[in-house]
Amino acid sequence: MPDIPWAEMWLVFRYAVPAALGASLVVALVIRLIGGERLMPLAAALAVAAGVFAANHFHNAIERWELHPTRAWTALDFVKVMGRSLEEKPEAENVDDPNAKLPLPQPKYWLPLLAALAMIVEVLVSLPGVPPAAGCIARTAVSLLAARLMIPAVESAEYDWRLTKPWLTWGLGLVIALEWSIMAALSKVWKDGTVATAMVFCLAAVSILAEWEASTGSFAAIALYLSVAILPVAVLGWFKPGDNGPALAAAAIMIPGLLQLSYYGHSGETPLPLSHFLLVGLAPLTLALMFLPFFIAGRSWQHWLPAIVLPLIPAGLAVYFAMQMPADATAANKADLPTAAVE
Amino acid sequence: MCRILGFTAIAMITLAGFAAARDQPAEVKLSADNTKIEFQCSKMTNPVVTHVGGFKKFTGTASYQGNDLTTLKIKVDIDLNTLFTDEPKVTSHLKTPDFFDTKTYPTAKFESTKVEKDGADYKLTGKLTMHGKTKEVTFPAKLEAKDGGLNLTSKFKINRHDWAISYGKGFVIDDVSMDVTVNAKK
Repeated sequence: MPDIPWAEMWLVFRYAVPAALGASLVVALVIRLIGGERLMPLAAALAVAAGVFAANHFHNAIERWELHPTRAWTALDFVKVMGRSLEEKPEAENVDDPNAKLPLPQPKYWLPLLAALAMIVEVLVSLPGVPPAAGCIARTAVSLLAARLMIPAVESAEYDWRLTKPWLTWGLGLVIALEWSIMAALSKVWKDGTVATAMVFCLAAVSILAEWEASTGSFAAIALYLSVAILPVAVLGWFKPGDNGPALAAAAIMIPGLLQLSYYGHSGETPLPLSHFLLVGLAPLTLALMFLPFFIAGRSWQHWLPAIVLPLIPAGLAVYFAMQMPADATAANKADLPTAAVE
Repeated sequence: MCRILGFTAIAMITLAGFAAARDQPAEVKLSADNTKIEFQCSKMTNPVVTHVGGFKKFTGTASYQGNDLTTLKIKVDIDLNTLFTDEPKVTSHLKTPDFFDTKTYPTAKFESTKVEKDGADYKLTGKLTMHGKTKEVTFPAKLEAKDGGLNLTSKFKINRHDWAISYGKGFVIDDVSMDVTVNAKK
């Protein structure tokens, strides 16, 4: 059984989780009740954003991105950093003169921005009159952009996955695009909280893996914030149906993105079990089975029960396997420790 | 007369030799065998939990002219992947992108730029680079030059936010206590 950081969890559950729930619920309710079903995509997007912002206010898992050490960042800086981030091998930062160059791009800063972009795209493609093909193209483009930015570009040849695993960008992009397309299509057919509820559980599983196995508190917290922020959207969907696709778009970016970054960022002496991360990362793909005629046309429990249970099976298995893992073996020997620690 | 001149010449050459030897630069290699770089970081829990740790592998040099320690130049490269603490979970967490991000930034560097006398002790100034950022730091140190070797002890604090290590603001205490000990022989 892995170590559980109870003290930090208490802080998160005491302040951040209630804040995310409250903010998301209020925003979703207000917009949905005022704007009706027509504004449900906007309600879902703004509710998720409000929930994550509120949670982050109390726990600061999403760090402020300072592009430049001495001045506020400009649009030009942003374009330059985006350009560098997309290069196969960005030039290393000249650390002796930090004012001379913008920093080496870090995927963790891109992730929330990409989730926001995915929600904006989903709101736009849900507008009346937008052809489905445009939605498909936009989702694929954002997915590939997200995949590129999620594979870190680093100086060390050993860890430079852009060069050593060039297929990974395409693989990750394909997974994000497929998961996003499947969820978007289902959310337009059912318009209830089914898919959003499934994503609440998947994101909770991401949070558990990021914390227990990858020891990355910020990614665990971000997954938890998003899970909690989507929950009111899901619940609202059961009572006041509507297209909550933008909330699912954020999940489609965040689930593979957070898992990829958690897996990559871990530097323990024992390698992380990739299968656990794949099980959770690919769990939303099981929703593809819901396009079978029996499920897609099913009323009530015939669609929502399997749609929630199917992704839960691989995600739950991964969590179960993670619970069986021993704590990370990077423990220091007593002899290595500073004198004060041994005393 | 010739004998006196000869003695004088020999004495002058010997003295010059001693003087040259005294002004020769002394250089020692720094490694985990003769140096300890340790830290303490705390979480604002109730009660406050403090973790201690250090680095198992680093390389560097310290050099100075004669016995003048204000000429001391120190250069150290620390392998951050060899970081350890008293708690495995904390060790893993410190290496992730939340803190040092050791895959992206595998080394930290320190290079001294100035050493000043400060009463009986010294004040060291230098550039500390980690997490992709360089920041000038000044800290007090007790220094002793002995037979071409170097003894150094220093305790000081750095603010992790100066290097954009900002995870857990309000939960993980900003100041990290550093404890450096060098006991290097020539």
